[in-house]
Amino acid sequence: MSTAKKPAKNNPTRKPAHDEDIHPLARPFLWLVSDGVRKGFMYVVGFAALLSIGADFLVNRHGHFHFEEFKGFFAFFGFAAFAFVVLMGWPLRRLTGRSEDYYPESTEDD
Amino acid sequence: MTELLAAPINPAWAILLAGLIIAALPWHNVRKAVMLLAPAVALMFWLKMSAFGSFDQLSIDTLGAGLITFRFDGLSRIWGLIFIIATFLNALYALHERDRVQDTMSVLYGGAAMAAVFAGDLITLFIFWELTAITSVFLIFRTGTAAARKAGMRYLVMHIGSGVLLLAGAILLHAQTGSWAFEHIGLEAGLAGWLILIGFGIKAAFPLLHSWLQDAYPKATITGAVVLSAFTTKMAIYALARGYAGTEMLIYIGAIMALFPVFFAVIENDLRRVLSFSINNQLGFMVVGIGIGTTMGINGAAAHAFADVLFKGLLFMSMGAVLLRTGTTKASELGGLFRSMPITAFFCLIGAGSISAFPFLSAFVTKALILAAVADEGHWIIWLILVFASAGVLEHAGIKIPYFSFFAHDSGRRVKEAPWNMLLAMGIAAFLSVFIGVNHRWLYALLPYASDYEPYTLGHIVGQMQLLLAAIFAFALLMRIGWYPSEKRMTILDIDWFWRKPGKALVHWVYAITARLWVYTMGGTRKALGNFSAMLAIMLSPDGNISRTVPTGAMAAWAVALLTLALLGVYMAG
Repeated sequence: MSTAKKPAKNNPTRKPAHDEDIHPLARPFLWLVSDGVRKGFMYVVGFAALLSIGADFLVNRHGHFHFEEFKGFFAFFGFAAFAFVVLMGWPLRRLTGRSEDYYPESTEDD
Repeated sequence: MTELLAAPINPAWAILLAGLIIAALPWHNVRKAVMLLAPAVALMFWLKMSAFGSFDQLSIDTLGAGLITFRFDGLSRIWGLIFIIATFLNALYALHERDRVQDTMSVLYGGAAMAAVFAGDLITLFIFWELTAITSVFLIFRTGTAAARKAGMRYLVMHIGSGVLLLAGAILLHAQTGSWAFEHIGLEAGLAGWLILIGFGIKAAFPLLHSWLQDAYPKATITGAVVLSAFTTKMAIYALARGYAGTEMLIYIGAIMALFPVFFAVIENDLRRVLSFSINNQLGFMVVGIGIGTTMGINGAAAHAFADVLFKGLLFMSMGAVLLRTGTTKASELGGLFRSMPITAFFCLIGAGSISAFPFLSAFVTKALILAAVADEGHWIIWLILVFASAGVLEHAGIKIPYFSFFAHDSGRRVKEAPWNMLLAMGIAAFLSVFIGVNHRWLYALLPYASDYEPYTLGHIVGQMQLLLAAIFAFALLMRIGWYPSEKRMTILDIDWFWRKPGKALVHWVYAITARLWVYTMGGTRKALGNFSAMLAIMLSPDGNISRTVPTGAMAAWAVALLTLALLGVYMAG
């Protein structure tokens, strides 16, 4: 990946000891932004989501509505809702997005 | 003496009095001490209330009724407490700030909101309703930019207008019922009911009346935005719960409010504006609860308002700290800040988890009440909309806010951690958000109605974890395949475009045309002018129309109408 060519400051996980501006409390957590975690995050969360669906076969969820009781209902609905909200961002931005100085006063003396 | 000490005292007086004292104090440290002490005194007054009732009766003969400035009951009790807590957290968060105007106005604003919540009649409510508008606008003005001044003016006009509608409705209502009491109003009160509902609706940021929120809050000062996020909208939710519980229309209004901001929040680049959309969305949940109107629905609205003041305040505080240290809250300019602000990042994550309703955090136990109330009444479509909106909440408040500021790609910014007082205020808000999530019985005991609802069932936890984990997976997946709209610097248009662009152009056009017509017709108007001055004389002379005795109600209605016209003029010019 191209990240290897970036200056060390932009990639502190490689040389944390040299980035002296990093807060001491943040140092133990730099692994959170390591390449491995970045790449693995999706699979870990995906696996956890599958486990939560699996839990439906062990726990009897009692819902107010019968559709709520389908196995994995909240997982599928949550995934679809989230993806829909995000993907609608594209047409919505095309429709309502303007340049930052669209309203004249926004650049007057900011 | 003991009798005097035992007498109930309105906690709002402590805050308002402190605000007046602060206004006169030139010494920074003394001022800050008073700001921190006032909520402590108010809390003492709140704690010693042992029974519900109406106190502080003030008789004003000209209005023909007694005013009740302190009504302590199930509904005002919980709102009073959260406003006291918010006043304290705001003072702590602003401890480092040397600005007497903001100190004064933020304290008076908190006191006014508290006094409005404790008001037992519509006149008292109106007075403090307007006071919140007049004091809070300074928290926007003090940013000092032209954009903030103009947004502040637009904000002020909307909010004064909200009070004018409230007053007009109150006068009509008084004409019908002969009472100023602030009890259930409902739409059955006819025009009066509609006027007051729209007045409340402006401050609660109903759809189409909402633009002031996303317009003004992100332009407020660092501490101002935190203060603003606590009071105005939650005061409006209180007023709706008092006056319009069970009004069916609110279910649909609330559902729209919960739904539409989540789409805008995805593409918004300014993270404080994302949080403003988030306020709108959370208010939607509360408005639905009020529209349902059952004891569970009202409890849900009250509980969620309480939790929201804490976690939304916390999120605004964390973004304020970022703004203080980096000078921006634009997502496109941030990223990787946890390296230099790890404590702020940690508290922000707690706020994000709380609003997203992770188990053992506050919204898990408060939003569930609203959803259960909706389901109990069989509104399955509304229920689905609210679950859908919950996934949207996770997107913009749960993920976007912390991810793009503290994680994501490293912006290379190495700044100082937030000042200790900001961290402490965030820490307390974070602690309370966890406390409520874990000790939900403590909060439920403060709700207007007794509640035996149990949020911690295995089914609820599993269902909620499914929703959250699958949605986070969707985020990771969309980021990986590059389908997530990247953060871009831009202005996102909202409903206020209609009056800020074509509306303004129309006003300019009408002005130009009128000016020309005026010049053109001046030649032939000498006679007309003569008639006009004769008419004025008839109106204004001691025997004229203006001097006739007119019923006070009609006079007030005319004053209200003229004031509204003037407000519209100022708004368009702004």
